[in-house]
Amino acid sequence: MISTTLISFWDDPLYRFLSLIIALELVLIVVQVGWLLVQTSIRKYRLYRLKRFHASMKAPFFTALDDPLTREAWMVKARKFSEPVLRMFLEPYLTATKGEYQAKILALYRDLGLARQDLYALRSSFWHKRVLALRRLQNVASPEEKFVLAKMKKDVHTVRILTAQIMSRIGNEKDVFNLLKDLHLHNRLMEQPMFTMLSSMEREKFDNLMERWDQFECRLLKRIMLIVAAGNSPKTANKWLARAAADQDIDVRIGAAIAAGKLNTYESLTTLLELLQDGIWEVRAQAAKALGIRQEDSTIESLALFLRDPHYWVRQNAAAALSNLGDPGRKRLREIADTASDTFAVDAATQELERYQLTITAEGVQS
Amino acid sequence: MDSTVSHEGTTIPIRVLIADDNPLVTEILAHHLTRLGWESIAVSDGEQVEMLLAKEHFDCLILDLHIPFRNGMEILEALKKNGNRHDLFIMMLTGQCREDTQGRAIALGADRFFSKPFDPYEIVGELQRSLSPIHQAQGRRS
Repeated sequence: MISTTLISFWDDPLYRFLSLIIALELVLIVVQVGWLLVQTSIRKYRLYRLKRFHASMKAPFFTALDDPLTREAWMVKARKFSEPVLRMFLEPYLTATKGEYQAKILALYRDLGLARQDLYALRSSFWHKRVLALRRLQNVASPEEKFVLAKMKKDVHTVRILTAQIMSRIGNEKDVFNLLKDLHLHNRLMEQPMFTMLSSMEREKFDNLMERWDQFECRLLKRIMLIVAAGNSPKTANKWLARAAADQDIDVRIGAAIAAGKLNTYESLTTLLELLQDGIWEVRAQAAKALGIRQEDSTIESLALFLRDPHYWVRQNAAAALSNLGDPGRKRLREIADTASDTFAVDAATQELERYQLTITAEGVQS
Repeated sequence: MDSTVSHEGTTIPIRVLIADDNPLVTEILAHHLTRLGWESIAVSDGEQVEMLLAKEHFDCLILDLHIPFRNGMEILEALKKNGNRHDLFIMMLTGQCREDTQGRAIALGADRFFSKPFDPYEIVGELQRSLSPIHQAQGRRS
């Protein structure tokens, strides 16, 4: 009875097709489960070997770092363990330490051939393997390896950013420039690694890199460079400020506004006041915010004027900037709230004064 | 060895309490201190630090800011409040090395401030420079 029903199902092309799909899906699930089991077993085995490694090799490891004879004996034993186990053991020590102690662990890492394998992995056709190798090389790479790393300049974004991070440590500003000059950051998530890299660069290298600011193609990168320079290298930021403020790109002009907010020069103040007149509201809003950070009484009337701006965020930032200026700014806000004929200006001033009052009350309650 | 002091035939080792929730840090430091002939005890949370300091004598406390139950600052505040641990040399070892944090720790009685990642040689060298003379003097007094 059942077999007759099955045969009748199989005769129907639709049921036959569906049966094949279900069978294929079952095979895929079995393969996936099998793959997961294999991966789990490999991981468990590595952890078991790592445990064994810790049990027999950890105590002599500390001695091996300071005693050449123990070191040789330790390395002979260590070579009996697989590369992933050696990495899992050494990498936490490399990350947690610095200076002479880290240099000794690095020497061990190199002598065990792990750095050579990392460099070899850079040739892999799988980008995630190249990324993993570069992550390992962050602490390990030395100036001798910069020629291998320089070849990554045509690679994908993530690889190039990671390479630039290493290059900022082991290379000069020209090496970093070659890696980044035609790099385009596609989204905001890519900005933070660049910001961190540029912020941690040696001052002299960064100053020299900033000399080539106008040669970088990416607008987001130029913006980040200007902001970092305003904090770390005000002289170079000042040099490019006027040009950045006149740039055709909105992001670069926003960068100029943020940078000018951090610089305490007359030129930067003039630049900010010019940016306050920009045709794009995002730039005006940023300029108003930056003026609030600078806290200069001479900007009160310029800011007051922008309480009438057609865009909400420009008015809000201008009002907040006035409030940041302290009593003179808030006095002007009160005047506008009480006497101005423009409803936008009255609303922005009133809201900011109410917000300020709420903050004062909240602070009073807390204390 | 300059790390210990002889007094009426007995040798008193310098005692160090290491408070860090990262076993890697405590292992490295403990290894180097043991090599000097010093005695070290490692703990991973603030409550254990306070309990041990109340019960036993230590010459030095190596303290991480972020440890469970009671953080480094709370421990420093408690020690300052009690006011009876002037002989305890306190070294902060932390990943948070902002100037205001450093200033606050020093104001609360920390003697040295080191940031992570750390160089064990640098830390042990500093401990030797700072502690050995104090310990010698205490040994002579006792």
